[in-house]
Amino acid sequence: MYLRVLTDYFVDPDFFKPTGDGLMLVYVHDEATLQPVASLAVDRAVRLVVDFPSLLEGEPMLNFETPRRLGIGIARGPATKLVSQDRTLDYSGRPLNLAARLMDFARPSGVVLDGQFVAGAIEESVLEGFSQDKIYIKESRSIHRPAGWLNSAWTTIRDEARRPIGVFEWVLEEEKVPLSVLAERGAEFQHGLTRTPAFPDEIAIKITHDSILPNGEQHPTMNTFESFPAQFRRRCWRTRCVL
Amino acid sequence: MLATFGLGSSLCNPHRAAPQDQTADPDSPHEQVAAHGSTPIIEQVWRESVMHHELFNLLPAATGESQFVVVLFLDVRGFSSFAGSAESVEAALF
Repeated sequence: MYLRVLTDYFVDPDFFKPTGDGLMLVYVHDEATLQPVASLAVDRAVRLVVDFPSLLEGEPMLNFETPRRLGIGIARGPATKLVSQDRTLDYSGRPLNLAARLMDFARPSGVVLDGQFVAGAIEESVLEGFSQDKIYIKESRSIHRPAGWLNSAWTTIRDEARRPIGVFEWVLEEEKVPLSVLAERGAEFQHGLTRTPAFPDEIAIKITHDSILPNGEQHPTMNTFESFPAQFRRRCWRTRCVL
Repeated sequence: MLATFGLGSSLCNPHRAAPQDQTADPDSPHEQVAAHGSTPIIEQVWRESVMHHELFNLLPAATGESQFVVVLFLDVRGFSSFAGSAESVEAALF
């Protein structure tokens, strides 16, 4: 797989290294070469994501199922090359951290670009199918970086990535259920949420119901509030999940 | 066995079969590591990896250079579960 990627898609990178489950690639540019280098990188990334499911078809040794999805994060900026005796040992710097974090958003597959990448740096034709989306990423120098470019046909940004980092609010999701129905649900019942809680351990269920007088009649104004422990679960069937 | 896949020298690991009692040679990897005053663990890792011992020798003279770069990180989705269920040789082949 590595060989195919490096010979058919990302030819002659200035540096690359395996990262366990994937690859890191670096292309050096200057002012004159920014657009061709960046455009080529994005174009090849898109093609690779498209081709990846069938990339190894026909390989005689591969008579078993292999992964078919690829996530790619791309960023640009100044980085430091660690070099010794004309040998490049490694790279470090902000665009590397950023690209790795953007890659994490490219799920279940796709290409995610830094939102500040694009301004004039990439040919428009290469960005066909991409749109700007709001993504909050924690960076070392700033709290977040709210934007990214992605192809929504491939990539679904998870809810928590759309919220500013470190800014939380309590959200009340209401469901009105007759007591008789609640009783039918038993001691444990489920309530579907519309968003993923930032702190799943801190969700709570509060039930409000009319107060019943000793004579069995409903109190005209008083309500009773009760809190119950809640557990957050994500249930998935095939590729669909509900909260 | 891995050498038959033609995946490259790092997987072929030519140093694994090297004799442990080779005579002292200042140019040998073993003696170079000893000159750095490394621990036995580092020596063992170093003997077993071409890349590691090259990096070890190059690091003392390493310098940093600033460049403008475009960086791509690729991740094969589901590789961990694939590697967990497939035979290890199949994961390496992939």
